[in-house]
Amino acid sequence: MGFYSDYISWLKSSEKERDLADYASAMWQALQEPERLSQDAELLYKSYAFMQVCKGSKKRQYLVVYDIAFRDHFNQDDLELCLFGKLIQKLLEARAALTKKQKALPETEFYKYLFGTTVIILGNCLTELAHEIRGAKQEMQESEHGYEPHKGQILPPIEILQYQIQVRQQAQYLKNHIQEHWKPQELNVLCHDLESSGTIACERLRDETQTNIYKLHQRIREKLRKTLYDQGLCEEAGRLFVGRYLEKMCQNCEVLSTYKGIKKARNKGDSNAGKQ
Amino acid sequence: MPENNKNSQYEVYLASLYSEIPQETFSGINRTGLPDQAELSFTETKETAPDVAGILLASQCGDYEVHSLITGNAKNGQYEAYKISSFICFASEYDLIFNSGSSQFLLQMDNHYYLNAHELKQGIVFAYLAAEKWVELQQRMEEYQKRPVKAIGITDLAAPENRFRIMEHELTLGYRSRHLDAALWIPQYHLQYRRDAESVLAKAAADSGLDEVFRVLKNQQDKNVFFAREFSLQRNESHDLVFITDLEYVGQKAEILCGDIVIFRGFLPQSLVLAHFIPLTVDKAQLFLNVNVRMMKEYNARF
Repeated sequence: MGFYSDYISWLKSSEKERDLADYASAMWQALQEPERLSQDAELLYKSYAFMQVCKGSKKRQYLVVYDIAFRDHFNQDDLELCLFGKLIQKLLEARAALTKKQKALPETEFYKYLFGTTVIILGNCLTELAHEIRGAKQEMQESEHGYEPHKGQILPPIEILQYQIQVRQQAQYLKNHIQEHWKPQELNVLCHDLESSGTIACERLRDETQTNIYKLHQRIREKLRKTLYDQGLCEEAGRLFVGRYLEKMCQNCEVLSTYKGIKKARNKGDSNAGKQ
Repeated sequence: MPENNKNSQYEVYLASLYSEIPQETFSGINRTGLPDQAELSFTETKETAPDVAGILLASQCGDYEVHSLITGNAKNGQYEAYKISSFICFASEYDLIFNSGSSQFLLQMDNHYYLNAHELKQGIVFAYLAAEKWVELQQRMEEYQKRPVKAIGITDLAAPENRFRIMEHELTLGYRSRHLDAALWIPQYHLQYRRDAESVLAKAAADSGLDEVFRVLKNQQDKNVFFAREFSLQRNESHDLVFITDLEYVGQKAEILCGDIVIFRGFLPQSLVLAHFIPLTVDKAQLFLNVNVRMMKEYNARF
């Protein structure tokens, strides 16, 4: 069972209880405790259903954006995730203003207001997605017009990047590319670079000197940068890959205590190269 | 941005202007949902929301939903507002781009108006600027107003970025038309003449044909006045191009057009400034502006 079939089963089972106020109430709860969206399936389904109703108001715009995404071979489920993620993020950013209204209006009136706000923000999310799909945002940064939108700007955090559809797609591509083309010992070094920054002792490269580790880190970072460049991927995709996908890759990546040892094993024609 | 991308963004823009009444949960696309085991995480902000200055407000202007930045500068009990849009791909020399949280907007410095307290109360606050971001943006707005606008855009009114700009001004026409002391926004003046005066004038002369030029020259004795049935155009001592309504039509509901683009809709006042400091004789200005009036007879017949 996946999200879609689970969601549809839930929607069918709750057919008699379908009520927009119920969905709106769930969305408002989700905005109070957004982390619950990853823990409480019913809250997620109701919040998602609320977005689906609001989406009906922006049907025309959604279908145009969907069509552009489809033509450019973007994954439909990723499009949904980016839309939902962006929506929640921007609603969270408007939460203080919504709270003022919530205090001033009766409950039903507030839910209507929340619906109106969600529809407007959803429209802006769709616009943003259309820009991302066609790379308009990146071009804006490079243009030499009379405005400087990104001067001195702080880089967006992973929480924002993960809902940028082109960055997301590129990060997934990078993950697949590394899995297919990088040697296990190279991934081992990259994983060591990631894991050694934490507090838990890292078993990877245990038998290497600090100087070697330093050089290996330098080389692997350079290789990652070169991979990004050679594959035509943006820097944000690299950041998202490291921030979201690398950790999971490393969980499945064998722990190797040296880098050189692997090479020797390979030279000997050992098919289990890398296993120490 | 490649031309086909601009066209597709314009298609998205036009679609964004429509909101429909939803029917249950949207199911326009089959088998689309969130990816399995999707990770959801968000950043949270603890900023407080301002009451007026720095809010991004959606309000209803006639048939259109208008998104504005409220600056809070009050005038006769009304609040100054600037049109904003999330279509940053169409930004021009008349815009400032700013961030609000994870969103980016373009602020149209040439598209501003006033909202009354009722409109402010009825509107929906969909975002706001944190105090320091608001101060920063105010500074940029002040700097923008001090420096001359450096023309960068193309003059083809049919180009997607110019169609976007014309439509954005159409959305706010209801608000701007009640703000009679400011010059009207004219696409032919702002998007063509100010960007490339020479070729615009040459093209206008060529388009009008020799017969038309001779007719204008013959009929208009004074090059600084143009007469039509409902109005006259004059250039005052400050070189403003002024639209003067014929007494018979003052107070009647009408649209003023430049070519086929409406630049004013409402009750005709005694006079309106079309453009400030236009270094042209009126007959030349009229040659490329093609100012004309359409009386809204159905409306006037009711009164």
